Amino acid sequence: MIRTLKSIFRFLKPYTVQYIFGVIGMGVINFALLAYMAFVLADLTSSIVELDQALLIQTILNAIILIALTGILLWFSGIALVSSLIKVERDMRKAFFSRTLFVPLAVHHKYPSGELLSRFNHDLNESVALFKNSFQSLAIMLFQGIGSSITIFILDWVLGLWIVGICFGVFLLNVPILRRLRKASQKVQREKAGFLRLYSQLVSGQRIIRYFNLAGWIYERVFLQSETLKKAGIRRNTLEAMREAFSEMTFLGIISIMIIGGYRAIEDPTTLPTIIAIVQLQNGVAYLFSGASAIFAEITKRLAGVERLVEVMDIPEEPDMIPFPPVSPEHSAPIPALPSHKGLFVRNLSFAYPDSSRLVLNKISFEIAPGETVAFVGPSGSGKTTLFKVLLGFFAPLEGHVAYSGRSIYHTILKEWRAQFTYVPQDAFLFSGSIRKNLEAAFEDGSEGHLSDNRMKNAARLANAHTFIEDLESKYDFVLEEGGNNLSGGQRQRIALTRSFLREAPILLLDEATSALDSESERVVQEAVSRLMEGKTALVIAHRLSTVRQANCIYYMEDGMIIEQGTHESLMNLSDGRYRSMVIAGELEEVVSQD
Amino acid sequence: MSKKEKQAFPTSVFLKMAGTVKYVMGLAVGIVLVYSVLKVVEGHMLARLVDTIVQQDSHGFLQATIVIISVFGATLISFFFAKFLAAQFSERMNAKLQRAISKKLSQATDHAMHQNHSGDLMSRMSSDANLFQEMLQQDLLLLINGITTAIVALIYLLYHNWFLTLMVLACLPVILIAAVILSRPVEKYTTQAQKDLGEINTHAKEALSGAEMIRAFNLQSFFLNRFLGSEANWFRHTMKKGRQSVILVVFGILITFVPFLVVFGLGGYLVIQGQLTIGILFAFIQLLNYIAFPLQELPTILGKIKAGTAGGRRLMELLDLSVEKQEGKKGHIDQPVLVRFDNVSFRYPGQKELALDGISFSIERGEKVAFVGPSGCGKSTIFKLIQGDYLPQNGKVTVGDTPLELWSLTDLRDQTAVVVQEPFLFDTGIEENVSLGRIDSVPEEVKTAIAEAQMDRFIQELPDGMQTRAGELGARFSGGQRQRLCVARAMVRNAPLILMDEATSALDNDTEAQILRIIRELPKERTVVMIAHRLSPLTFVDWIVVLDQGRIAEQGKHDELLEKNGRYASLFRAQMMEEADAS
Repeated sequence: MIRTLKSIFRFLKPYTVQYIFGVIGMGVINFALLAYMAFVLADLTSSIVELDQALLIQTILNAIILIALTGILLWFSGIALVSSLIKVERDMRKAFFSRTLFVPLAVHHKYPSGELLSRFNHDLNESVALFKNSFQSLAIMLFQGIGSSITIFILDWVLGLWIVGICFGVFLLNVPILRRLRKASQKVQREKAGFLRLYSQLVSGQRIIRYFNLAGWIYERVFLQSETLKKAGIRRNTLEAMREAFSEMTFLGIISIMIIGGYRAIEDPTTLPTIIAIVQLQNGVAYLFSGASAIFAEITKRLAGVERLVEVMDIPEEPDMIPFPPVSPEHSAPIPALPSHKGLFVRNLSFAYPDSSRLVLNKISFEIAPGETVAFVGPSGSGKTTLFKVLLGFFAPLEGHVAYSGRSIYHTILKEWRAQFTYVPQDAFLFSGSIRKNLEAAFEDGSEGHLSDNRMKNAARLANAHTFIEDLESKYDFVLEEGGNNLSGGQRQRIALTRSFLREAPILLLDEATSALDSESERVVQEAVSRLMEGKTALVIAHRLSTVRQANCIYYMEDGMIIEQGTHESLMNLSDGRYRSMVIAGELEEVVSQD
Repeated sequence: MSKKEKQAFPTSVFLKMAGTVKYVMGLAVGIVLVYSVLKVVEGHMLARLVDTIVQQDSHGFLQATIVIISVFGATLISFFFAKFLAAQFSERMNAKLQRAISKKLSQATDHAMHQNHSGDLMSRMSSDANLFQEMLQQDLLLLINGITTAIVALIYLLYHNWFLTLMVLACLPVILIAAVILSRPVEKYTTQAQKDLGEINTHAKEALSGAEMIRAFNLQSFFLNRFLGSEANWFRHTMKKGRQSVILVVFGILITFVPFLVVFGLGGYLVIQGQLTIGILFAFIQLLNYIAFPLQELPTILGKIKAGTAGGRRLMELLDLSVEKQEGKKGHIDQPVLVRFDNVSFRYPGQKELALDGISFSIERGEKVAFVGPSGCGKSTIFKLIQGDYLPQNGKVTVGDTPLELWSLTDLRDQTAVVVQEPFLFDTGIEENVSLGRIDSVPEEVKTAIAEAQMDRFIQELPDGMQTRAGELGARFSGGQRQRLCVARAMVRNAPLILMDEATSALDNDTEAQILRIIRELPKERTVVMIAHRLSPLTFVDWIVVLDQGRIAEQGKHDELLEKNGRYASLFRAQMMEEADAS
């Protein structure tokens, strides 16, 4: 807990003075206002009891001046507090966001994007709220509570002891209830989640429920679960009502002071103003005891959010180069003298995902001459996509070598290594913003000014995208929605292809989309894809017969291994070949889909 | 007007559903009313106490002490019971709604399920239900308590000194108007900052979903800069908002003192003049809070109540889901012809185009029949009609010896076992999942079915065996394994008619072949109707019906259709060409 606090305080550091001034200011002001109120009431009482009109006017004037002065202090500390908080929030968000960009891809596999997003939103808010609300409430509570207690003790230490005693008693009374309440709340959360799980099955399995006549079966479960939830809810809320009723009991303090003080004041009316002041100050003491547990519970809860946030922020960034020797010492071997091979050279490449012993790639070897096209074919899960990811340097291999044009992946800065590739994934990657902006992303860090209109339009023509873009209202400045959802599937793919044309990298990694397009857009996209492959060293994960037929070589993969290789014709001639049986089973699509 | 009526909260439905539970809430409201009065009495007794002190009336003081302690005790008790009863009410109503809605949902028609998004059905039961419950539990009582306490306090104060009361009340509108004016720029900046935050969120989503491409294209700094642009906007707007809201807070805190200063000054003067007792002045100070409270909190509470009733309305709209008919007769299925379509035409409710257009065919006992054709050709519609999801507008569907419209749906579905494309398993153990094929199945049947579906060896290796949880949480099963469990469930059903709706089209070849083998090896008397996507595995079926745009394009045996050289033949040849090429 201390360590978590420490790690979150680094974001406060540049603004510590501002923040502490603000928080302490808030505490002091809140106590001051409470104390004024007390003494104004006391003065008021004595002026009335003594029928002293001048004192009355003096009291009101004093109050106005004090309140105005407080207002000025409040303004100063408020500004200090608010601006330091906003800066902290900005810095935290920036640090988190940039960390998710620069960490290795493996981190994104470990944390699904929903998880990272919830940390970015929810946990970050919780962390900010720790500074914004929790610490501020804590300061106010402490200043008011301790300040009021001290003042009461100075005024009348016997009554001071009495008040603190009562508040402490009420607090002790609350402790066992609070513990039960926490458990009861957790149970309600659990049972509610249980009910929603059941209900979601009712929604997604509705057809099965009807067709198998399971309405009675599921209703019985719903009935029992809602019964459990009801009981848990009633228990939780009853405890909550008890807690609130007990907290109200601090009012006993006021009553008892009125009674004790009242008896004294009947003897000696001049003590009445002091009693009135103490009654007012008692509120501050009561707040200290009734609020403390809630604030600490809140801080603990928010610290859990901080922990989740810091966990991601502390992940180290991706190194500049892939380490050699590869991660596991048993597989390590010196880098062999690489052949002066001009194209892409892969030898004995193996890979397993972190925390798994299963080899997703198992001693893969192949060579591709510049300008050649090769196709990778195999059942899903055979390692084709992983191969692409390892080639792109997303993951460090367990063993083996990759080199392009004689340069080893282990000896090249990752940024430069990746600049040699154009990766075309199955789903077009587009982001919100203009088409132009999306195309600028073809270049390293999207350096602006790089992209002349001419060059952009030429690329779009090659990708069969120019015509439809020109038909859009604002042409290349047409603004895409998130994920490019205001374009059709074929249009999205063609914009992504335009970007690939602009990139002009020597190697193309193409993960062919399984068709989701109508045949006309399919044809237009296919045409652009073939054009893109021209003159490039192209590796294609193929789902189409037409694609594999064009390839110089086909690698058939299963279980992370290349088990057959050759041209389409030669592989079809293997009488019990795996590739052949896959083709015969109709696993590869015709260009014109049957629908 | 009618739209407005639709927007209203269905109070009568709610009260009817509440039954006797509504009196619990009535009691809670009654207690809250008592509580409001007690709070004012408490204020009055504090005034009495002060007065007796000033008058040095120790007898009256003692009396006031006793009364105030008992009043305090009574407020505590009524406070607790109001909350307790509200909890009883809201939790009981919650359970009632959950049950009624779940029951509706389990019987809802296919059409109703298509009209409602599953996400929408979920959010109504989670976030809308939460809002509604919170309102029943808290906000309703808060509102009633706030208003009645304010009214009782106001009457009390007016009775004791109308002049002072009116003077204090006069400050309140001024304060409210000033607050509204001051908060306007804050609202403007809040909206802008909210928009910036939305953009930031979009950047984050895109940076996460595009994690691979960003690395592949070295776009880290590009995306960071996009983010920083929105972040800078957010910072600028939030800073402005922050400054403005500090002013608002300062003003807000200062202004709350104004009515008190008025009471102190004017009230003190009146006391000195002898027109007011000092005790009543203290009662004023105490009770002023009760009047100011609703003015400050009312907008928030009303907002919550609005959200709560809207949530309740959306939740209770689920009760209007149309459900399937529950009556009907049990037909006999032991006929030579199991299913007969006579010139059936059908269009989905609210659709213009016919989904089925004059279809006639019959399926005999023991036949294996396949329906093929492009998507949207009507294959699935035929299945839905056989299941009784819809009735045709024209023509006649007969299952066994009984026309479709006369069947009781429960009995009709007892005659069929379905496997659909998306394998759905319940979030419970494997054994229970498979046994759900027939509610009265015995463990041996389940075991046999699982063995037939070739899942027994895999399950034996699981640490929890047959008790391993399936369903959404059981992510350890692949799509093929889940589908095989669904096939096992259908086998357990032991129904005369097996319906396979694209049951294998999402699976890889090996799994498809395994499942088809199970179907092929079924006993002769089982009738199987399949909808298929890939044609090559269909060579074994007895009869193929090719559909196109709601009509039967052609039908016959596989070989006959090939000979005919029509639509089926061209589809089939397109898929088989490579095989021919190779050999």
